[in-house]
Amino acid sequence: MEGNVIDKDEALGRLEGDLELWNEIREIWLEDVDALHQAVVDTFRQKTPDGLRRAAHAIKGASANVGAVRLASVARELELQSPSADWTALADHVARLTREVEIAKKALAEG
Amino acid sequence: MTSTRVLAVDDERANLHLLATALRNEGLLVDLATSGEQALETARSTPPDLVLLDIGLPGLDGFQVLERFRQLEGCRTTPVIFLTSLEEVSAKLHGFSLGAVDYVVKPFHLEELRARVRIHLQLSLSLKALAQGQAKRLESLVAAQRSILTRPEEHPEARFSVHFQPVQEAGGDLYDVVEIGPGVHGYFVGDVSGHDLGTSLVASAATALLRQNSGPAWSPEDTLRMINGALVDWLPSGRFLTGCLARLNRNTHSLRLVGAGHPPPALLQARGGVSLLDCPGDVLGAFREAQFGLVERKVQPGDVVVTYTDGLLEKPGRSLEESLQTLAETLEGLRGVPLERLPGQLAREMAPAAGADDVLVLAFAV
Repeated sequence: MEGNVIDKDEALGRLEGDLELWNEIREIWLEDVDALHQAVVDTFRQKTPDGLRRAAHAIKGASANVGAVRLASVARELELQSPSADWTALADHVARLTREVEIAKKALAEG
Repeated sequence: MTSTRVLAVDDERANLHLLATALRNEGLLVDLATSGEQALETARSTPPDLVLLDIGLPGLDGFQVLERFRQLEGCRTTPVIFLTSLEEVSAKLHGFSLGAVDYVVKPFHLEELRARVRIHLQLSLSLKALAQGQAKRLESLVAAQRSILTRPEEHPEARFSVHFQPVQEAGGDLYDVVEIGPGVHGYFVGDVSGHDLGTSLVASAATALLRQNSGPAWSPEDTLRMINGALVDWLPSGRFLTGCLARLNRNTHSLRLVGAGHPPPALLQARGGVSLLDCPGDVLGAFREAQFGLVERKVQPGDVVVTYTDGLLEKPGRSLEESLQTLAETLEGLRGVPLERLPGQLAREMAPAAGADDVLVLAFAV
């Protein structure tokens, strides 16, 4: 997938250049992202479209906040697609999201 | 804004951290909640001055929280700003329809967030200050109105007592007692249509007109005619005043009543019996050529005249005729009650509908 994994400048722009504050929400994201991702996986397995939509919405919001723009974009697509209940197509989306979570985690762990 | 409290509600920890940091840096007190239920609990115990509310909350969503929040004491007009994502256009519209004042798109820009919070806090606090200012001015008006009410202890020779229970702080019922000359007094009871601040102003104006137009040179009919003439020119359409002006001459034992669309005064006679002194006539302030009712009769020492406003008679399920009958019977039962306690006791025993209208009873002894 193309595009920046993290757009730190955009995030810092919203936070008025406050690097300390960005680091704080980065740490929160790193603490929370596994649970957010697990919620996506669980609701996909349970085949609950609304639950999947909510889980995708949550990981989208958290990722956009910290500047993990590519993951946020994939999560947004999943959020928009989840009401279709096309579980074959959604399986691909969830797999992509899982990959992007790992990539974003690596990038953000490096700061 | 230092003592101003903001409640931030979001299930995302990073968002709450950003909100708390950005707003606390501005000197605001910030309460945080991660669910709608927790937000309502916090607002119930400590009503906020402004709420930042995420729509997509687990459990109760932001819309449900807003609806319940509006039911809480002290939260009916508190500004609520929704936190939304760009896609949620219909959600924003729904939020506005429920009474939200604004929204901030997530992920939010701290400067924009603070600007919106500041604007809505300023607006809300200004409106509160305006309301408090108006309440203070109303208190002053009430104090001024009460200060011009004649008190029985100031005119012992007029031998009257009064019970005055306005529904609102500045009511539309009024009374006054004026000395016409040695042994001669005028007693006026009136009722201005409506129950608002304008009503109170009219009542104050009518009192002033009464004092200006009372004296040995004026008969009670002249006085009401003069008041009517001034009010016709001054009162807006739809406003009027009912009233009854009694003139008691203790030297000649004569009572003269002039009525302007007002319920009949009652005469509790020392020798026994209660008479209703019906003196119908046109209301004041509505017609330039108003005609007033007139009753003249001899009275005896020990007789007591009771004037009142219609609030005394109003009771659900009771007709006017029944109320007047009840009034006569109740007064008969109160025979022997000292004059100073008679109006209050009459009002209690008539038990008019609580809070429906002003209740004014003025009694004077011959």
